[in-house]
Formats: sequence, C-alpha cells, structure tokens
Amino acid sequence: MRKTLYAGLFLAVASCYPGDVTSLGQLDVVLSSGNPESDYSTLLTYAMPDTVVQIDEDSSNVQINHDFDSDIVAKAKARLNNYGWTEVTFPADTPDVFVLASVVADTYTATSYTPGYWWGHWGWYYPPCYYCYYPGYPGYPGYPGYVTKTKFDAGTLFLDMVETASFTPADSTIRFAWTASMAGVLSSSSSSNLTRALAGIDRAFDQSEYLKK
Amino acid sequence: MKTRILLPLALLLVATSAAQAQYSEWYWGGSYSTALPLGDQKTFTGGDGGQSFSFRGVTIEGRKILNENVSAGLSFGWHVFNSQGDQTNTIGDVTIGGNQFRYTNAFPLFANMHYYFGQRGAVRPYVGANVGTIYAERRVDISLISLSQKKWHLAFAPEVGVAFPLGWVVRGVIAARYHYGVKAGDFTPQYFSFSFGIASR
Repeated sequence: MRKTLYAGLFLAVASCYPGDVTSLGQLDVVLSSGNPESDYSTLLTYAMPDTVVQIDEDSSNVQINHDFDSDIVAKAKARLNNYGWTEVTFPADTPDVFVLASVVADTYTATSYTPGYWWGHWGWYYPPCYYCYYPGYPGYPGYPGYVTKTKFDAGTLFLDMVETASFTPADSTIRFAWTASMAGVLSSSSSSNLTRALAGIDRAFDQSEYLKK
Repeated sequence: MKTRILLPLALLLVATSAAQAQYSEWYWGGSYSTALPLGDQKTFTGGDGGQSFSFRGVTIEGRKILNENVSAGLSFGWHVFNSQGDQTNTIGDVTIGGNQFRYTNAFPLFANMHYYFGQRGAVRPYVGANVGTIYAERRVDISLISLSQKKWHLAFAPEVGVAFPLGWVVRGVIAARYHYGVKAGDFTPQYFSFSFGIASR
C-alpha cells in the first residue's frame, strides 16, 4: 500500500512535455501589430533606407552580417509594392511613411536541471518466508540529477512603419502605423538565417492584410 | 422470554459481524489509460487534426469492498495531451504566428463508489461515480517563450467498466470514464478516458 501511495504522490508533482524541437525554424516567431489610430486609406507612399541597422551593435556579443541587408530590404519593398504601396525617393518626395529595418542579437545562456531517479528498490527475501528472518538482497539507492548549461545566439529583425505627418517636434514623438518583429535562434549558417528572415517578413505581411490598398 | 429475544438478536449480531469481516477488504491496482479530449481540451491541444488522442496516461486506485455489490475508494490519475503545429493567433491588435507546442497535464483526484453486477468470482460489470478535482497544468511554448496556467477544477466522472478474475486475488479491469471539470479561469477540462489494468487484494 505504501508503494501505491508514493506512486500517487509522484504523479501529483510530475508533468510530461513530450515532443522535441527538430529544427531551428520551429523556434521562429513572427509578431505583427497595426495601430487602430492610423488611417491606412490615407497612407499610400513609402520610403525605405537600404540598410538594416543593428540597434545593440556596441553592446552585443553577436555582430550581424550586413551582406544580406539588400535582400531583406528588397523583400520588404516587394511585399509593400504587392500590397499597392508606392515607393518614393526621399528627400525629393516626402513619403506618407518611412519603413525602417533594424535588428538586435545577443548570446543567451540557458540552465536546465535533469532530476535523478530518486527512489530506490526494496530488497527481497530469498527463500520466501514470512516467519523466518533472512537479510535478503539490498535495495537500489537511485542516482542524483545533473545540471546542463547551453549557450545560443538569438536575434530579432524589426520592420517599423512610422507616419511622417504625425511627427510632433515639441515632444519628438511620432506614430507607428505598423510594426513587425521576426525572432528566432541564429544558426551558424548565414544563408539559413537569411532564408528564415525572409520567410518571417512574408509571414508578417500575410498577417497584416489591413495594409493592402 | 428474554432468551427467545436475546438469543436470535445475538445470533443476528454475530452473523452481521461475520459478514462485514468477510467483505472488509481493499483492492489496489493500476491501469494504463488513454484519453479522448473534448470541448476546451480538444480545442487547446487539438492541433491541426483537431483531436490529439492521448496515449500517455495512468490511473492508480484503491477500492474497499463494502458488501457483495458495493465498493468505495480513491483514484489518482495522470493524463497527458499534447500537440505541435504552426498556428496564428490574434489578441487585440497583435497577431502572433509560429510553431506552437501545446501541453496539458491533467491530474484527476477522486473519491468514488461503484456498484457491481453479477457474482463474486465471476465477470462483473459495474457502474460508478467519481467526485473530486482535476488539477490541470496547461502550457504553450512558442519560440523561446513559454506560457503556462495551473488551475484546480471541481470535477465529476461517471464510469462504467468490467472486472474479471485473473487469479485467486487478482482482477483485471477495463473501464471508461467521462471526466468533466468545472470551469476555472478560461478553461473547462473535459475528456473520456479508457483504462486497462489489474487490481489485487
């Protein structure tokens, strides 16, 4: 009966999380957010710098490869054009919005603990005998758990759409019409990271059909 | 006169005590459980397929035989539901999309009573009622973010099953139980479980 009660207590404190991550792409997430105060029917033109700015460049342990800035900017422009937006050249023309691409990246450390096999076995008597005493076979004490540390690089690509007409010089504020962030764990392959970033941009626009003209 | 009343009364008391001693016994057992999610549970871990039948579950139970047909006891269970798939969700003005790992660990803890048909020592169908609580831990993992919610739910579980002899003191048990937990937070745990196990005195 005691074994059954212990097993019941074990059930009460245990939990199970089956399934494994089999590729870094499964850890990618895309967030997109519109602004209910923005009137998208009046926002028709955009300008976009050709550089992806790393916001935390001075403090980060991870330096982003800027060789792929043009690919990222081209993808964002293609999706905006597909949604009916018109690109203009600043400062010759003043756009309704600026679309800014930026990135943050850093190294993270994760610590996990794997519990040991904490209960042992009872010993057993041989030969079976209720009325005689025989010390029997000793029990098994179990083994302790262990700690694992993991390091990985993770980054987030941002696309921010700011309304030029909403800029207020008095308090230096400007309204965001739309923002998207594409986050994930960085692999050692730059081309793989680029492929996933471009897929993230596609998904951000797919999630934001209110940007369509 | 007194002997005519007291002797049958004494015999009745002895007979009753003997009957109680004969039926005063505990059966303890364990079962492997599968589960079919319903309602909120089906929606939460249904995944793309919408079902996510669980093959991870166990039930440990003790029943005290009260008389020829009735037992009372306790039941501890653990059922795991999980799903994985690409999902998009919108909360307010924010839309979030990506691969989501979803888990529910449900721990039903019940007091119960069962009524058995048929004769002792034979195959005995039974019906039962379970009352208690379900502790439900739900978790969503998306990217490097993990969100979880843990709630206790008042719960009920009607049950049908059959017990059959496997030996002098060992019984095989096959049972189906409908678990229903009262809503707590925004979640109502609800599922069928199907158990296969053994019990012994």
